[in-house]
Amino acid sequence: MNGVPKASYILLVLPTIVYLVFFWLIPLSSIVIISFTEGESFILGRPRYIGLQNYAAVIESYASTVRNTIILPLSAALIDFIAGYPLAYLLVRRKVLLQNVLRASLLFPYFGDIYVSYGLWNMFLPGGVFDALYSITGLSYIHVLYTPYAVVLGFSIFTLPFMVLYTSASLSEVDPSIEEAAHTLGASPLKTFLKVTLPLSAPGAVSGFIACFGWNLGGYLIPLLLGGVEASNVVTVKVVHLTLQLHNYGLAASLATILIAMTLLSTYFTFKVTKVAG
Amino acid sequence: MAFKHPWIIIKYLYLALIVFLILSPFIFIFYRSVTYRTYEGTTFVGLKFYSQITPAYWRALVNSLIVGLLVSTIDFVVALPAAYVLAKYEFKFKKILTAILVAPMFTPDVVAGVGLASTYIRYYRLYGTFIGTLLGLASTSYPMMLLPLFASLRTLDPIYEDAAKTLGAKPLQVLIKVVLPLIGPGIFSGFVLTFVWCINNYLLPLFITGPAIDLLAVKLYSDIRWWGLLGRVAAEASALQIATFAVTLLYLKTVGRRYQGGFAL
Repeated sequence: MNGVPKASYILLVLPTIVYLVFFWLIPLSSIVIISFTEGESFILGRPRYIGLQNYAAVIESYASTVRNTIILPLSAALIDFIAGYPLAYLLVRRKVLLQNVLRASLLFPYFGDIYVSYGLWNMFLPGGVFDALYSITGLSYIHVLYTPYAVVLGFSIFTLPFMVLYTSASLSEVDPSIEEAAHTLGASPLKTFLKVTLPLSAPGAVSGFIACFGWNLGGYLIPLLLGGVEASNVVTVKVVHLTLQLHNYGLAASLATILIAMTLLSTYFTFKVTKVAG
Repeated sequence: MAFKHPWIIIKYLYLALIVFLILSPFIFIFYRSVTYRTYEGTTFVGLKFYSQITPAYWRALVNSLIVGLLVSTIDFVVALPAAYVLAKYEFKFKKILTAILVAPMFTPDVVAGVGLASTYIRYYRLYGTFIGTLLGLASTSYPMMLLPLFASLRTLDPIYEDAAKTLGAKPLQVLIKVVLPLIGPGIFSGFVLTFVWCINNYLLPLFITGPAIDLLAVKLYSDIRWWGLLGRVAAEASALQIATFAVTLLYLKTVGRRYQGGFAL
């Protein structure tokens, strides 16, 4: 447009491309390469290629890790959907008191998982907020903290804003007059919601679901602090342990490659669903 | 009307539960940092724990703020031309290009950390350097700058640029005198999103910065792991939290919710 030559806008995108190739693409592809080498050999400059041995080790001793990494974020995404869809619906379709406070409070998880995990850890321990709840139900903190439930709670608090964001974006594109038409033709409010509103806003809800899943795949401190021995057995925690403590970069990279594959897949599906919606 | 009351009560109970769950971790850390108990069980309010924070931590906070600002600046310089092209021109592969440029945001920090650390050590010789820290943080936070800039450039009416060009302004003049002032809110929200993300990131610096440079988030992370529930740690967390909160509040007051490019509500 405006008769701008093609070369000029290639020139404008060039810095970005060069920068991301050097500081994103090459690091990520080198992880894939490292996953075929032994231990620290790649970093020390003399890579010893050992084929698929690292992946064999992953299948042998980290199968439960990979399974946890899929199950925990999936359940968190499911809870986010159940808790976040009504919230998005209320924000878009209904008048709510203190709406700005509600929106502003949804910004808080963006400050980082460090606060969500550390705060929840403090709250669950004796002397925290839940003391009254413990004495009513007769449970102790051992029954809640250091279980998968605590991790799922942390995950779902951390990513709830994404769910609300995606869902409300797609809900606000649904024309209210369609709902009114269904109502005029005699459908009950529940039927209108189930047959009209929910299917029309489904793309947003689905991409929100996948985005929550994808973000929580990279969650590190939440499973580490809230998960105890069993539930902190996720890929990110193992990768940090294997690299910074054990210096076994080859094995860590093969776990990280699996994580990259899962993230890419979920990102791809998010884009695909969003494209269908748009 | 009588039928509606229980629904309203359920609605507000639900909203209160959501707000409680989201805000309580933050509020409780702050509560822990300003109160302390004696052995008799009485609770006092005071800034005792804040006075226990050593000067090294305050220096680390200053370092974090500087790093956050520099990273946002790098991102801005790299992302502005790309955002301009994405917003103004139509071309083949535009969707694919957008997807690739947004992808760093979806990369888990652990993965980016391992990849950057190994390439820094093996090829770039940037491990443990200040420049390496800046460039590494900037590459993963790049989309958080790109998307707000893109959103505000797309809604910018081309008529202003055309008018300036017709009146004889050079391209650089158009950029500095017309485009940048008009997309001010977008620039500001990009800076805030990148800055907030950057000063709270502990995983990436843990991998690529090494012990040479102290950043508060990294110190906080290792303190949480070593000292856990100590009041001093809660005070450190609150200090970083308050700094972040101040920036965000500034953001909400000045820009509002218009130009967030699909990040926050």
